[in-house]
Amino acid sequence: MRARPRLYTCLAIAGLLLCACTRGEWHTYRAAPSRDAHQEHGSDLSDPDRVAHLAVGWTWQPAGGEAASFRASPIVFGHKAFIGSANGYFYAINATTGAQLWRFPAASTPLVGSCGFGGYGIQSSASRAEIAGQEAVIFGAPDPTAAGGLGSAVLYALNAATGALIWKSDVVAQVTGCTGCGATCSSAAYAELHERIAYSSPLVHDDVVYVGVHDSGDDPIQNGKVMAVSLASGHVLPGFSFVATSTRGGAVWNSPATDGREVFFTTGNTRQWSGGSQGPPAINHGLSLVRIHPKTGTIDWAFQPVPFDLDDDPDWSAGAAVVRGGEHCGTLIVSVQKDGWSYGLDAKSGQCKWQYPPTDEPGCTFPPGGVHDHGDTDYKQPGAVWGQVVVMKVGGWGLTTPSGFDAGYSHLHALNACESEKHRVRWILDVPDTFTGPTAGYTIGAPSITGGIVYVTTSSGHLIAIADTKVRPPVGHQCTDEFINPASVGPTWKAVCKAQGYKLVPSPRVLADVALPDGSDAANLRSEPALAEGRVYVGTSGGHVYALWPQ
Amino acid sequence: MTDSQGSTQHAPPRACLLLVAVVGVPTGCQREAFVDRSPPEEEPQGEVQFAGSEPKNAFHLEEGNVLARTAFSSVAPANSQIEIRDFQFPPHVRTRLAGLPGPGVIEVYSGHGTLALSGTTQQLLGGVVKGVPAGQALEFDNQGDFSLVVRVYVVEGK
Repeated sequence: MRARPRLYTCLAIAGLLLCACTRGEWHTYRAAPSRDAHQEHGSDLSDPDRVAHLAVGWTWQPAGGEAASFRASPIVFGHKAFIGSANGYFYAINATTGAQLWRFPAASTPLVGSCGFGGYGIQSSASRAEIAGQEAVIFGAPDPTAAGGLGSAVLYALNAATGALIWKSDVVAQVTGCTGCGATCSSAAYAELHERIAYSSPLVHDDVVYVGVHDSGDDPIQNGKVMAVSLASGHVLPGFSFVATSTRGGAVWNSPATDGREVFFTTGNTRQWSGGSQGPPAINHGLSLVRIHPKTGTIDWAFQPVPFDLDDDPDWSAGAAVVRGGEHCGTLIVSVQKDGWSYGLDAKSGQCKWQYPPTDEPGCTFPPGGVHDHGDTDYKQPGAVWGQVVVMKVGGWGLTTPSGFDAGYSHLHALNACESEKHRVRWILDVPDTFTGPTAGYTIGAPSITGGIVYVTTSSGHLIAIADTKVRPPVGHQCTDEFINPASVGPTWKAVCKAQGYKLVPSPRVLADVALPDGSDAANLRSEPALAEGRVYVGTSGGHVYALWPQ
Repeated sequence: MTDSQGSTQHAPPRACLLLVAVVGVPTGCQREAFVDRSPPEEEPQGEVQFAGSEPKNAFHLEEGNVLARTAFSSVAPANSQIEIRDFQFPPHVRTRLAGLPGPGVIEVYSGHGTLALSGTTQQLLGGVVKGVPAGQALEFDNQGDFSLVVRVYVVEGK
């Protein structure tokens, strides 16, 4: 009777294969807790020949007739797509057919607060978790039943199959009043808490759920926090605490990441309140990339390249992404600050391994009195990681020219994270079909990548697929100073680029440029395409979710 | 392969292969290490269109591979004109600019080098601000590997 064991072995192999295939999912914002936005499983989306045939397969909008607007991005697992809307409802959609499966809350009681500071609905992209044997989906939103319903926020854990509530966390962000600042902040406005968790996707790591707390348009600026709750119960962990400063500032506008051990995130400005005339807080971990201990929240290291004196509101809001650089390079944490300068830090020590563009200042920090712009500019999108290549919206050498802060707004850079300075830039793409009006800073969303093919949404409602230069030969080149281009300098631009000491680098091939039918902003602040099971899932500000695949 | 009862057991392996094929093939299941560490090998050929917004006050090329632009220009009180000009000087090159039409202030944005003016030489580094008189030639020596970028504020009497 050896047939039975063989059968079991056979079933096990088949099961493993099936399991491996279903792992081509997208479990959280940026795909995984490392926030690398990398779909490592091959599919049609990583085949450049197939990607050229990318088209919309199905379109969904809420079945209940409520007007949706998606600033969160979809996650995909178990053949379902999950996304929350700024209208305060959270949805599960059949990822194969585009049919709505359930809505939370089922009743017409959306998750919005009654005052403006709490009226943002669900902008936090969700994360997958397992809670007591149930597959769950977790997201943050205002709780209309908490603290007078002004908009204090909690985390919700729902059964992924049914939408039933597993737990609602303790309050993690408080709204205690609705007094805005206007031209000047009153003492009443300063006395209230205006905390949000709109832009932070929960990090599920070792039975703990972490979420970043930020403010509402600096009205007024709040003290940044990371909150941690028990994955089992949703209760705030009493032994954990991270606050960014001893006064105000250091908002956590992003989604915490992990390298599998520690927790990383970035923080916002500390100076832009009280007219900016006050001195620096005694404890100031604003404008920093931070590593904390996952159990206690204590700081292991914090890297702050822009000092308080130069703080004109360059919130570091993109968040951290983990690059596994292998033996010679180690693990790096990469990000871009709102001023457009990007960094690769050693995950162990926080030491700056590189800065792009490099300023050649010690430790990659800007000296007080410097002339570069460190203002409220729009490099807020995290990068995608492919091996040791980071694809990110950053500024290039154009940042070093006066008023050059917008140099990289429509540009994706691929940076070699573990190469020498000479080879830092792998390619640059001036992304087509982006909106170029007054809000040109939000031209492209957060890129995702699979098999060297980059996917990114644009403000004019397009999905663009781009082939890394190893996947397809480049189609031309760009100067590493964005201001030196054909439109600016004329036909001699290539010679000028070289004469000025910059490099001509490849410009990668665009494999597909698909206009999404509703034509609305698909980039938002930092929306991402979710790459799962051979399909691209995109949510738009116009209230649609699209699934695209090669057809 | 024979079992203890003497019957041939070909069916399970075939079924197994079939099952594995059924599960594995349609889903295109393949784990691939999409990791590539090498930089681009050589400069590409060809041309691409500039897709971004048309730059305001674009740089133009002046003699000596100097990039220049007028970032701002306005009539000012007392019959004067204010201009803000930006210059990018190429690396390891000494460049001479004609005298300014009025007194000015130069502010160094990036790079390092020197400015020779009226027989004196002054060091230029990011953040340095210098006053310059009207009508005197300015000689910039970019000693760095990248552009020396300078903003010049000029007040011109009419």
